[in-house]
Amino acid sequence: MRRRRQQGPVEPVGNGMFLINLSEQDRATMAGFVEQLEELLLSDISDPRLRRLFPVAYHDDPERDAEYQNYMHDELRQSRAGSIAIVKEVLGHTEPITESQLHGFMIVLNSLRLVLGTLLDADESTDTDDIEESDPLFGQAQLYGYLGWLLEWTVSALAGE
Amino acid sequence: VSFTTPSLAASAQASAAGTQILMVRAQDTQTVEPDVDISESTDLDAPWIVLVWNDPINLMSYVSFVFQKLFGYTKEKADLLMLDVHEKGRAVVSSGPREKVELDVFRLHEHGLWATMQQDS
Repeated sequence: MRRRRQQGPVEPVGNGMFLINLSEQDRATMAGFVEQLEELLLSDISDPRLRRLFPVAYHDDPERDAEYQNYMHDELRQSRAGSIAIVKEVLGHTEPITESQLHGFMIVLNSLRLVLGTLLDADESTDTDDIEESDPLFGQAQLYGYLGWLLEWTVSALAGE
Repeated sequence: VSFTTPSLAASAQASAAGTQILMVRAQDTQTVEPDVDISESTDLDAPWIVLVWNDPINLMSYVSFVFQKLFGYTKEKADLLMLDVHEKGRAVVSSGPREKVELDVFRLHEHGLWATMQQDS
């Protein structure tokens, strides 16, 4: 029996390195979505699509939270921009990547998924296969499902499973 | 999530047709505020705790992996915490002085988890 991860899109190749096995077309498509995320991160903090990317820190203390957001919001934005830069580079070639690059890839997949999940108003019973082709959010639902699949493989590779 | 290969084609098609896939207005439903009972008098010296709240988007395997990676927890401990979050709605994942806990919250936010902090009562 072949080991499942050998058939997957993210493959450990030894020495702490990994390969992302995506077609050239899928890489280009993903890179486009990552660029959209990059643009979205420049939006105003109040944009509802960013709700899950910049959560409150002090849920019972608005004053302290405002203070926290004051000095941490930009830092969080920069951290996300850093991960996006890694992913744009990673998607641009087919060479093995480091664990740290794959970790950045994982964070960006998850960030995209959080934005899409917010757009889709997803809950735990959301099955993207149930969204009809005629639905205006069909593309979003398909991408949400795709990202979940790719993220599972990424986590599994990083966890050494 | 199934391990069969899904296709990016439909999302790519939407994108090629000029659709900015992230350019849809999010639902106006507001995030439900955590319903938590906060003690009225907090002891200034009491330690701070980090809570992670259940959310419908993050994958269970991902949440457990993030706990292992950020806090050095074993897979067993991380899985238990993740299940606690999932089943009880929230779990305390770390504690300590305020500065340390703020950093923990920041790192969890970097990973897209819904984490908040409060002083332990």
